[in-house]
This record gives sequence, C-alpha cells and structure tokens, in this order.
Amino acid sequence: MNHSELYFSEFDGEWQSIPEWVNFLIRFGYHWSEGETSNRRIAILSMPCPSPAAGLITLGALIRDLGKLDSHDMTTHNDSLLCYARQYLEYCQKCELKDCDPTIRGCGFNSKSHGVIRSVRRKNNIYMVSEDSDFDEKKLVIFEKRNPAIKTELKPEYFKNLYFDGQPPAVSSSEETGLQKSAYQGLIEEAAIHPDNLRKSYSGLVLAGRAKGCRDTKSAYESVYFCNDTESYTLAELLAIHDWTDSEVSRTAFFNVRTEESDHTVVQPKLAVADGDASFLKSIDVFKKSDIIGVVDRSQERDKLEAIGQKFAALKNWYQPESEFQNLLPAPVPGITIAILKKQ
Amino acid sequence: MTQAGSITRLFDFLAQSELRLVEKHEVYSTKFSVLRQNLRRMIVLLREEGDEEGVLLSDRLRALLSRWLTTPIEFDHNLLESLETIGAGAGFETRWGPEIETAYTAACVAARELADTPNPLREKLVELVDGLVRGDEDLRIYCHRSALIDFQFFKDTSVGAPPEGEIFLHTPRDYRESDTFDVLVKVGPLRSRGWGAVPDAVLTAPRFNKLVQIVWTGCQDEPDFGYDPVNVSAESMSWKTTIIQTGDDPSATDIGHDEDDFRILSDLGRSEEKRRCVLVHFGGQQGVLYSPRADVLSFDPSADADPSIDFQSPVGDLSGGMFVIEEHYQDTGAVGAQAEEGKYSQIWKQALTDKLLFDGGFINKLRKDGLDLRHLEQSLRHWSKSATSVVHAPQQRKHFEILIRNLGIDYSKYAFGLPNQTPWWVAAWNEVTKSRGEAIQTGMQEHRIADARLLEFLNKRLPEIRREAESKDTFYLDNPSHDDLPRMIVFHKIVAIEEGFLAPDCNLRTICNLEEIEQWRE
Repeated sequence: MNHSELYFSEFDGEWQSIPEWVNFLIRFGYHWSEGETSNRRIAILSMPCPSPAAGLITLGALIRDLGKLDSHDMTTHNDSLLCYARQYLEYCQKCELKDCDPTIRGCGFNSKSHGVIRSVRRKNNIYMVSEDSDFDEKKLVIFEKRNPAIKTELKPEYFKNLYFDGQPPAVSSSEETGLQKSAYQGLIEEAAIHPDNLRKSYSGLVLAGRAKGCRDTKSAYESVYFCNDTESYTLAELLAIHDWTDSEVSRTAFFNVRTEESDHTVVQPKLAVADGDASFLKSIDVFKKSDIIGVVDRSQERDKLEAIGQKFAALKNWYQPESEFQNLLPAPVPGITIAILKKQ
Repeated sequence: MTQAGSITRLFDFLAQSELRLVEKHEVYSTKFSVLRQNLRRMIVLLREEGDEEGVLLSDRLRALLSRWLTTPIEFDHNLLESLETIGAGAGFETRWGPEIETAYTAACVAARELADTPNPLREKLVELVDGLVRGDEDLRIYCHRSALIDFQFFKDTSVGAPPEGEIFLHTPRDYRESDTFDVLVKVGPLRSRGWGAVPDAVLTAPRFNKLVQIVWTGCQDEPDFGYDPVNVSAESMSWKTTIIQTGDDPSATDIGHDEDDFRILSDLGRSEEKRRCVLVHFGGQQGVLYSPRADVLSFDPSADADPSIDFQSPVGDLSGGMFVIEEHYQDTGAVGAQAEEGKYSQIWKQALTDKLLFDGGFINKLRKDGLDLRHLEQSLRHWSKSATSVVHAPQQRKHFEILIRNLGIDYSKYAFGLPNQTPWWVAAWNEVTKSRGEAIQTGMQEHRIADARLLEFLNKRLPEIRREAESKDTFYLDNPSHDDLPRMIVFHKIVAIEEGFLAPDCNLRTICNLEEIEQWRE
C-alpha cells in the first residue's frame, strides 16, 4: 500500500486524502528521534483548536520505534517478572493493609503485586507465584490457581510467554495477535518496520492523556479514522495502548494525568507526548529524564496559556532553543506554531 | 469543535488567506467623554482615599464605567440612575470631600444631558451590522452573556431578530466550537480578561477573515493581546488594521483627548484581599464564583463520563451541560442553620458601614446595650471590613448578638430559607465561627471520608439523578435519613464557565444573581 491509497476521516466526516496537518504531525513524531542526543529536549506545539495532535505525534513516534531493533521490552522482561514475583512473596503477600497504599505502608513500591502470572499460550489459566521460587538463582516456580498441588519450575527461556496480571505480554502469542504492518506502513512510506517488533511490547513511548482522564482521551482518538481499500482503523487502535486495542502487543504506555498512574510499569520512557496544558506541565515533572512533546490548544483562556508560557520561560534558564530539528520536517502548516528547547 | 471534518476545514481556512483585516471604528462623543473623565476621576480619588468604603465604591464605579465602554448601551435615564445609586445624598460631600463631589456633579450633569440622545457607538454598530447582513456576510458578535440585553437593537433594524445561538459568541469555548465565518464584530478593545474580554485566539487562530471593532476613542487593545505560549504568533498570522474615526470632532472641544480608561484602571490595581476566580454560570441569571483550583462536586450526565460524579476543577474539567452539586445541611434547633459562606456577613457589614457613616449615636447605643469595649470605634471599623478567609466580627457571641440587634436589619428580606425557629443573628454567628475554623471539627482525613461517603450516597442514586437531569436544569435530591450527609442536595445545570473575575473569598462558592457577580469582573 502506498501513501496515496490511504484515507482519513474525523468525527464521521467524509473520507479524504490525508490532510497536510495530519501528515505534518505524524512526521513530527516520526522524525523526533533523529534529533536525539544525550541532552533532554522539550517541545511545545500550539494548535489553533482542540485536536488529536498528541495522538498523531505519538503514532509517528511509534512507527519510528517499530523500525528500531532495540525498541522492545524483551531485555528487561525476565528481570521485571522476577521482581514482580519477589515483591509478592516478600512484601505484598504479608502486607496487613486492606487497601494497598504504598505511601502509608512506606514500602517503596508503586503498586501492589498480586502474584498472579498469566501465559500467552494458555490465556484462560491463572497461575500464582510459589514460595519455592529462588530469586537469587533466578528460579521461578508457579502453580495453577485451581490446582495448587502441581508446581512448575520455569526456565528463563520460557519467561517470554508469561506476563504479570494487568500488564501487556512481552510478546504476542502469534502474528495475528500482534500489530498489522499494513496499518502503519501507509502512513510513512519510507519507514523501515522491523517485523519482529510488531509482536513485541515496548514501554519507551508514553502518551500522557488529557486532564479529564483516559476515557476522554480515548474517545477523542476514536473519532479519527484511517483506511485503505480493505481495512479501517481508529487512531486509538493504531496507538497500540494496552486495553485500547484487540492486539496483545502494547507499543505505547498510557499515563493518566488525573490519577498519575500508567497503564503498565514505565520507569523513564525515551519520549512522553502530552495532550493538553495540564498534561504537559505534569509530564515535565514526572518524566524528568525523558524528552517531552506537549500539545496545547491556544484557543483556551489566557490563564492556561500563561501557565504554559511561564513554565517554558523558566525552562530557558537551563535549556536553549533548538532549531536544527525543524529542518528535518516538512514545510510548517499554517496554524501550528512550534518551540523546541534542548538542555544545555 | 466536533463537527465532521471541522479541524481540516479550519486548517484549510488558515492556509487560504495570508492577510486578515481589522476594521476599527473609533467613536468620539464630547458629552460621553465628560462623563467618562469625571467617572474616572472619582474612581482614582476614591481609590486614593485608601479606606475600605472608598475602595468598594471605586470598584462599583469601575464596573459601571467598564460596562459602558464595552457594550452598546442606550443613553437614557439609566445612566443617571446608575450614578445616583452609588450613594449621593446629604452626607456625600462631607464623607468624600469637595473634589469627588465636583466630579460626581459633573458626571451627573453629563449623564442628564446624554439621556435620550442617540449613542453614536450604538448607531455605528447598528449601521455596520445592517450593512454586513445586507451584504450576506456570515457574522458573529462576541459579547458577554450578561451584555446581551444591550444588543437587542436587532429587532428595530432590517436585520430582524436573529436567533441568539446562531450569531452571538460568549465564551472562549463558544469561539473554539464555532465553524469558520466571514466577520467577527466586537464592541470595545481587545482584552484577554475582564470586561469585554475575548480569547487571544481571535488573533492567533482566527476563524474569520475580518474583525470589525467599534471602540470609544482612547480605549486601546491590551499590549500583549494575541498571546501564544510558543510566542511566534506574530509571525504566523498577519493582520492589517484600518482605523476609521466617527462621531463628534475632538478638536472642536477643549476637554482634551480621551485617555485609555482600561490602562488607568488596570494601573490602579485592586484591593489586595481579592483573589482570581471563575464564574460558573447557571441558567436563570444565576451563577457562582470558584477559585480556579477549587474542588467542585459535580455531575456529568454524558455517557462517557467516568466517574459521573466527582470533584472537578472549574477550569478545564467543568463544562456546559454538566451539573454543580450544592449541599444543604439544614440543622434545626439550637445550633441554627449552617450558613453558606459570606451570605450573612455581606448584609450586616453593609448595615454596619452605613451606621458608622450616618448614625452619630450608634456607638453610645452599643455601649449602653452592653458592648462596652475599650477601643470600640476602632473595633467597629475593623468588623465592617469585607470578609476575606475570615469574617471579622466580635470575639464573643453575646457581643455579636448586641451588635446585630442594634443594626436594625430587616431580617425578612434576607431570610435565605432559614427555619423559622432559628434567629437571624445565630445563623450569622455560625457563619463567623465557621470562617474561624471552629466549625471544622474534623481533620483532613475525616473530610476525605465524608467526601467518600457523599460520593457513595450519590452514586447509589445515580439512575434517579440521570432521569432528573434529562429533563431539568435544576433539581433536588432529598436525604431523609438522619446521618451526617446533607439533608438536601441541589443540582444546577452549567450554562457556561467564564474566567476573569476578582472577588473576596467570602463571595466564592455562594450562588447569587449574575448582576451581583458582575461587580467582580476583573
């Protein structure tokens, strides 16, 4: 499929060729990593109206990540699984608090480990972490919840088929339950998508949603469609966020600004794209080591615009304007204004 | 903006035109200039007086002048009446001095002379709108909802009476949800806050090709209007401004050029004990002010709201169509009704101010009645100050009762739905103690538990709330059980959210008429 065969629709409007503003935003996200250095970058895009721009930028960044060999969670997956199991056995299982509250408990964890393990191959089975596990020896023993007597010791090479409850699997069980290349290739023709990545989850890209929360953000992105002759997708589906899509693979972590929680464990992503002023201000503080791209709607009230302006002005004490990156982008679209800062 | 294809249409529209036009009509009226100058003089002098009453009166005049400068008012008897209600009378000159009295008299003379003469700004507006409609231009008029009454001239023109929803824009949200159109009409300067405020996006994200602006001479646009946090707006949108002068000839008078009232008023500043707040506008000309970061208990009837009932921030979270939930804790018997913040204090403090101004024997009367404090006069002046986070009042309950008894307030006018057996002064005292924190018997944690219980209660009755919300803009929910939850919960449908207000703390979270709220417009 080539670019010209792809169509776009917003809010149930008529299908049309991909408009320039959509193309520009997807490409902004796609090219972002090309300007990557060890110095953190922060960008603001000012839009003339409320829009799904943050989702489109994230989509572009996701397509770029699909082409990077190391953009997956496989390398950290085994350790994460063992940490989760250890947390359950050594802390959460013994915790006396009825409702998990790490602040009151002072345990240092972010959330509760229930000790529940799932398998991509046996989706209906629930497994529990067994006390027989030995984490120093990287030995994980599990048992089926309905049949505790039978315990299984797992070799590290099988860990990739397991994931802990509530998290996306590290790798999908089949190609069909992974992402579809055709859905992404048409958006950036020259993108070199690595087929293995279509089956692997990745936590290095975060979408920080709108201030009203997950449902509001998802609903806005569900109003944006792309299609070719045979398939149609919403922007929400293409973002491959755990729980937003039928695919087993998660390529974008969702950060809920309202609850300040991510949909799965994310430490410091490479890039966080923030949808809205509140989301941008929060993301700068939460993802201290990540690049941040904030999208704001300048048709809002002055107070909100000034809060963003003041934050940006304060950042200039440690950051300097970055202009080289903009040379990589297509011609700017009238109505979108951009400022980028790079840490000195 | 959720119409099909609307974002793409806006981008196409922005790409079409490189240069947009501002047609600015500056109107001059000699008599109106005299009125403006004297009103401005009074505002400045009263402010310089420095005492509480002077500042209050100055703020009231400031609201009056701001309205006259940003709406196409009719020049009629209301001009003079508005001036007379600010307190002219026997004691006026004695209280405020000859300079203010002179300015006041001159303003009244100008207002009297203007009455029943045509307002040239209004005439120009009618002429321009008429021409635009005849020319089949798709136009919008941006004005505050409360200023709509001054735009009722349509019915007398060939324009007819266009449906309000189709032509008027009142809030930034209205603007950003409108489709593209030909001409935007605006009365008054371009300002981002306060009277006559419009969103900066009018210049940075125009949805129209031409702005027709009608202003009184001297009134300048805010210097940084058209703010974009990315700060390259000037490069991205180009505007060409044409200025057309109309009305009397300024050079034919000796009263001098008009100054920029808004700049002068802005330089004066405000009394320090006011805070920035947001108006949540209900139907029926009612509304409530909240601090922008307040937690407002609200109900969102839309299907995708999750949760439907929650504490929300008035800026960003609340929007038209949602409901503000008001709690009523109506206790009976000795404790008295729990007052809403500031309701009672506004009444008795105004009465106290009047007594101090005009009743020479008031202090002796209080002493005889048992309120015999050493620095009574000083204390009375302190208690008459507008409430901030605390309602200034006597320390002892018995002293408060004596004070209120001697103020001669007509309680029947300000009953606020009090149960019959609760004396007015008790309700007012509850308000004082509540403000001092004595009513807060529980810590933050217990507050949270109370909030959680209230949310649980409301969520249990969610189907009933949804049913009511489908057909009513205001409805009530009773809680007959004798628990700690509110006895009655009132739901008010939100029409609009509007920023740009400055008000004392005691005026926040109190539902009142928009007319009353207008005085706090920045």
